[in-house]
Amino acid sequence: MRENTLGFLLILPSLFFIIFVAIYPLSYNIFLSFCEYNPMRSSEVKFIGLQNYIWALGESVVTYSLYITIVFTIGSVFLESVIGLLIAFALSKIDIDNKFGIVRSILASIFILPWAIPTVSAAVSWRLIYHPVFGILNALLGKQIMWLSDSSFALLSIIVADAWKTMPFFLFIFLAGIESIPTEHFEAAKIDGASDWHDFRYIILPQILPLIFVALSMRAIDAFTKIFDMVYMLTGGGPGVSTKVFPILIYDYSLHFFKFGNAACLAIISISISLAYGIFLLRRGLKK
Amino acid sequence: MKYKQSLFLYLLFLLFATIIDLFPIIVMVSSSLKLEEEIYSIPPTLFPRIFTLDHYWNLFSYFRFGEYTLNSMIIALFTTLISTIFGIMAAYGFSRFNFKGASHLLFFIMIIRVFTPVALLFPLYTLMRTFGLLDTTISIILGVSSFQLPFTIWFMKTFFDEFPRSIEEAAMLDGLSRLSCLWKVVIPLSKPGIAVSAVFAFLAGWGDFIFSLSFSQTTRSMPLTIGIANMLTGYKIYWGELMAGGTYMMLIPLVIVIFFQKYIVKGLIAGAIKA
Repeated sequence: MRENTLGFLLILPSLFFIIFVAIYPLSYNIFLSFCEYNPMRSSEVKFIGLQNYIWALGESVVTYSLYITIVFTIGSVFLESVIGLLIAFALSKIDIDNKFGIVRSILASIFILPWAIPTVSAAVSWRLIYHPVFGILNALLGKQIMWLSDSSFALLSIIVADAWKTMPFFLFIFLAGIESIPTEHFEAAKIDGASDWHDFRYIILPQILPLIFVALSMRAIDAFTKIFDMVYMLTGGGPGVSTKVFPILIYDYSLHFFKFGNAACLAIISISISLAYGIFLLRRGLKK
Repeated sequence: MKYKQSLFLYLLFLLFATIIDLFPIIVMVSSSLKLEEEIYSIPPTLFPRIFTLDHYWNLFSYFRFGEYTLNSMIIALFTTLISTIFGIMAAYGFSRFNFKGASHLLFFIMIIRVFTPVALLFPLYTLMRTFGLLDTTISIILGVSSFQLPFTIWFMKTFFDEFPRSIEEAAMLDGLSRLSCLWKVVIPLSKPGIAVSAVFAFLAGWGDFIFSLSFSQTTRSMPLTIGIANMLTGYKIYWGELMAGGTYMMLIPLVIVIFFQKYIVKGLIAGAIKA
């Protein structure tokens, strides 16, 4: 009994943090989402029932924002996982020969870089690369594309920059997955005359498929909820609303427009989506 | 023979991937060393014709990067301290004690990872205002640490779960209490795990954007991230200084990667296999 009290005491400081940063704000937001609170007009917090939710469902900016956030999530997760898998496969092939062990560890250091540097640093560099006049991308392509201020390219540009930044996540997870496959599998396949493609298709892919599924679903929720810095630094949500992903929209409504009731409602919608998704994932995980 | 050929192809592909991977970083570093005119040259040059460190000097004389750096350092260090210390305590509590509702509590803490931090910003903002913490590094440290804690708790818990209990039991038979056992036996033997959580917390604090953007208003609390972001909103963008700022901010993570690459990879992999 005394032992358990000690256990609880050890957890207490963290619990305090969680209550302070999640439970209190969450409850306050749930309350605010049923109110109108617009301090630019009046300091009064007025209860208006479900009106914010009705507004959110009918407002085209909100539904559009949800739509492009999903497009962004699918696009960037797809791009970075495919590239990450290819590089992981190539890296695992090098390791077989011990002579190249050092090359591999240098490469690993290089490939982790984009993930480790601050998003702000990465974004600054992509700003210059995408610059329509003196950016290096247009110079290489011989085109005059306004990558960040043309609404048909802006979201794509953000997806590419984000995929560059996050690709190492998949690369190293997949590499670890491939390396955990017992080498006997490959040796047996080699005797049967299997090519590298066969190795990939019939040994590696089936073995790491559960890992791919877990990594994809984890990363998807991260992409959906945490995309902010890159968009803020590259386009700020524009041009128009073409890159106004959901976190940026929430930020706009709260600390830009000071429409805290609307912002709270959007926050609750966002949290409900991620909660539903998270619980769904946990349930699936438990079944296995 | 055939094996050599395909090895060559893989190396070629990896070389190509490496170039693309490093490309944005090279562009940033090299532009930061160019003269202003050369940055605007068409077509752009890959490497500077004339090297200059002017942009770096300007960061400190004109853009107040000295103060930003200090703030970023404070935020990163205290985030690391808070989330690591409290995280270790909680992780040990969850790992070794089986009190009522422990598993619910753990689930409850982990679920925060799926929240979007922006969604909780405004209530936090009012809370900080009530306590007079707006525009202090404390507010930013509290925000970042709270979102870092779940990762640390979960990561250290898996670490402690694998830690053989027999060592602790032996130490306790020798007369050590639970707490001194944690302090004198478990923690020294868990250094690799602690290193992973500390590196991740440091990088999170160093690169924090959302909390700094919302809570900091002046150079009193402004970190490098917001200092750099603000360079984009002026009526003229100073590209040379911007690139120098991006490069400068990247240096510490770069050093961390060189020394802790193995730990970072370990943390990345562990972070994914949660579900």
